[in-house]
Amino acid sequence: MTSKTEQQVMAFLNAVCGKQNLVLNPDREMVREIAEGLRENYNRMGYFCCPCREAWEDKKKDRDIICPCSYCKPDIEEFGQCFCGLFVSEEVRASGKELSSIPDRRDDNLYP
Amino acid sequence: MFQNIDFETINGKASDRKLVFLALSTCSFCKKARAFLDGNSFTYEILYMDKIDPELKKTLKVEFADRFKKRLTYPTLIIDDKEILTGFIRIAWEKELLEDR
Repeated sequence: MTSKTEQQVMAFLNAVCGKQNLVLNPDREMVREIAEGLRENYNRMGYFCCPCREAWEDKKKDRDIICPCSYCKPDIEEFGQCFCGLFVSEEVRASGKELSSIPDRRDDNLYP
Repeated sequence: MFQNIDFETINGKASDRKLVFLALSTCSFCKKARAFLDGNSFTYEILYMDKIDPELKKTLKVEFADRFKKRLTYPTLIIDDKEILTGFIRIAWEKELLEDR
């Protein structure tokens, strides 16, 4: 398995934004931290597992929390951000407000 | 709770309450929460759950769920073994930890 660099992770995130019409959090330091978490997870597990959730470290079991996760768009619609704060709504981007944790939409039974 | 666990202790000026901080090393809200504790000079014990032995992690999660009747999520701050703050919501952490200080 090849490992990813910080630049490669950022390239991935920018590509995801373009393809899925997502908006990155304007807080660059927070994005850098999340990207570092994604990079660490990729280099350990082989996929971009959400850095704010506990993982099985099994791609099939973690499938719904591979970034961008299955809960990303409904979370942005309801809370203006995804669970880890990487992607935000256009309104939240424009407001520049500090993000907080939001409830986890993922079912408890899907966790290790 | 959590007997015989090798927590790292961070020493600050405020140590009147026992604070146990459970986090994931990769999580940005955990980093924000830790910066809050450090910025307000709290003494706390910290454990990164993604850095410990999987069997120990299972045991801790069961103990946590038994005690607080919910699944352990991150970040979580256990206060005096009785109350918990889950997730990082600055206003809630300020209210719980800074008011009447």
